[in-house]
Amino acid sequence: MKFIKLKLKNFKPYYDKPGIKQEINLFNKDRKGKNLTLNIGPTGHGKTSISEALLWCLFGDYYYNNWEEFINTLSREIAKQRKVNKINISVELVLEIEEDYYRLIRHGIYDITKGQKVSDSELSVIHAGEPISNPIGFVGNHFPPLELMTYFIFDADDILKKFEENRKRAIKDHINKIVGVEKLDGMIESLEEVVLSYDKDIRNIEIGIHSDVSDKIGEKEKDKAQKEEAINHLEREIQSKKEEKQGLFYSVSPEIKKFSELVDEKDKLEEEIIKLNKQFVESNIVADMDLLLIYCIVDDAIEKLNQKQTTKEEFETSSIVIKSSLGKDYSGIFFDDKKNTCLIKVGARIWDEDLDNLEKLNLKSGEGIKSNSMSTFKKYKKKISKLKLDFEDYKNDFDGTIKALMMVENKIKLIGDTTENRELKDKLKKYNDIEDIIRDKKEVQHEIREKKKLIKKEIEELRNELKLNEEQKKKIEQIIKKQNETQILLNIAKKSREEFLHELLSYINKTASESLRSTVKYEDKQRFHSIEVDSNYQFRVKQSNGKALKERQINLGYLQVSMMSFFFGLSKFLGKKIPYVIDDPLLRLDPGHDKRLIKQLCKTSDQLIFHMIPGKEYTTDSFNWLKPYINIQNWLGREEYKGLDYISYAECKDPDKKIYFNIDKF
Amino acid sequence: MSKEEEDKILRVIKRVGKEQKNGDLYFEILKKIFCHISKYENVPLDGRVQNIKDIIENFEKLSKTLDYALKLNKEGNDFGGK
Repeated sequence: MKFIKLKLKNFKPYYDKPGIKQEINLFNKDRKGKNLTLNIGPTGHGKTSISEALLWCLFGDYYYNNWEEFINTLSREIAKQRKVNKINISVELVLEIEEDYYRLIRHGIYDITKGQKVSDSELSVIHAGEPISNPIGFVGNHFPPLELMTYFIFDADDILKKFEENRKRAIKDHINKIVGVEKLDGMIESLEEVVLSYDKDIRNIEIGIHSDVSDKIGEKEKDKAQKEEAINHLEREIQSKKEEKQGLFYSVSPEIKKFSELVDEKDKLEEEIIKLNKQFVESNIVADMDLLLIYCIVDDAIEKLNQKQTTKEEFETSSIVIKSSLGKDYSGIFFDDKKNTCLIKVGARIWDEDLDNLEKLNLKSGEGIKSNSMSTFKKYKKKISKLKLDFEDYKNDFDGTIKALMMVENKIKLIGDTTENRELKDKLKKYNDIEDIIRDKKEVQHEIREKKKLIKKEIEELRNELKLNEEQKKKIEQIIKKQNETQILLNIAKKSREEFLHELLSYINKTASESLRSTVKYEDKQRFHSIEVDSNYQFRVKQSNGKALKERQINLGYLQVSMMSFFFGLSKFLGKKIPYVIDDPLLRLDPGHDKRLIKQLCKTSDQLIFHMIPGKEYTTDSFNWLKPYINIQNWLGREEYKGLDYISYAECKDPDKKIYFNIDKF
Repeated sequence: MSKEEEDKILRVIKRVGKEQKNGDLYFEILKKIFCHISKYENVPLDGRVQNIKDIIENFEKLSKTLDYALKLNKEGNDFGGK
């Protein structure tokens, strides 16, 4: 899609005066391949009015209901003088879509005598000389909704200001605007409150029974919540220290770069160990650990029996010891011709044909092993075999990772002890200091977790003291059941939010990162490598090694470029190929950054329309690097009319020559 | 928020809910809660909490009846098939 021309009649500073062309050419099809339109003019000459005209043309009263404020003041004066009752205001946009032309005409009538608009403005869309039947539908099909047009028609200075005032809020607002995640956040917040509300319901029942005990429970619950908050706070501090650690070894020195790789490897291995521990705790290995441990002991005992001569007494003693060690859960041990060993759980039923093998254990009859005609025994045999394999796999992974970590730690220590590099010594000292701080914080975290477990146990004991009657117990059980169900709903909602945002954020992070890398200087490409916004709206700039830069490591110029890269990623996500109309595109960007960012936009966008201030953004230097892309350039001038007011006009200039202006006149 | 955007969110909730046992039931509850939130976004939090608890409790009762199960099967759903 391309904007070809804009015709303005009595719209803001564009007065419909004979002899003054109120047409603004936006695209010259004879200069295809060049897609940049420049509207150059000092402040107050009508640049922003062009953006407003476009939006009013497309969305009318929905964009701005009080459009009578758009009526050119001169036209009101002159209409009064000539005793004309009504003023017409209109904006016509000619656009091209796949080589087909459309004229969108927004028109309104204002009654001067009554001081109000005659009616709502109207839109017509003319195609091949005929009006189409559904002009509103035409706009709906080809343009995003009004609230999303801000990603195509905007003031770059305003966008950057909002990011700088409150970055997280700005990112949240943008993401919510595009995918509407705020409603989902609202649902999650409400479900969290419902879960807490069930806690209150339980407390109310408890208070009714024994207020002292209930008060104690309440205090303990508060204490537990405070401990949870302390654990979370420490976790945030630990993460912050980890990020500080990550940025420590950035340097151009090859020795430090190589050392940095070792440190990265150490961090990865430590993360791997945490992950393996977590997997172990959540796995079925822990759930069936008693089975596995006894199995390992028995297996070992049998191997020893096979290796040395054993007297009958020794064997009988061992059998009794093992049998007594099995405790109340297991009634015996089975092993077959293939030397598979299995424990027999109490209540397990054994195949008749297996009974003969059981005799090999030489247990006295009537003791230990029970047999019936059916068997679920094989289930346990299979379970233990799998458990054994899982444990072996886990153990190999864990041992391998520990071994690798020890090797890397030794290398780091060796380099630290032997290096003559002063910078490296200092950085290593800081690194070790941070590691100590992290270790201390983790220890404190662990202590608090242990205390929290104790409090939980105390709460359970206090609850037992309450001596609830059956009805109360049943009520509390029902509430807990509903609370658990609500927790499941909450987990689904949270997971949905993650998935929902994931698509948007994956795309934007990728697009914004590509934009950033194209914009930064060559020597900074490794440092300012990618942008990452996460589901908590945290914005990070990352190096090529994946480490995030701290705020103080990013200068303002690069931060602005990163913000704009993110912003353009948002509009690309919308997937609408409509022109960008940008006020003050170069005002806030550093020289060099502006050139690279704009060059990149010129290559990737169908049409760009820039509103630039002469002397500040439009200079000889900027014209020279913009020149290869310029399709049309308009000078927005202003002239006084009959001593009444100024009116603006657009004058099309040679796109291959810089427009000369006298800055002192502004 | 447009209907299209709401439907998109509900589609994701349906897909995630399917991973859960009784996923269809949970989806129906969340759909109702989500629509309630959309409709009454200016209602204060504590007001919404009681309404949501009512929704959950009503569905619990409904889910126990055969009628509801039949209704669910008959109507299918709009978000990715049965």
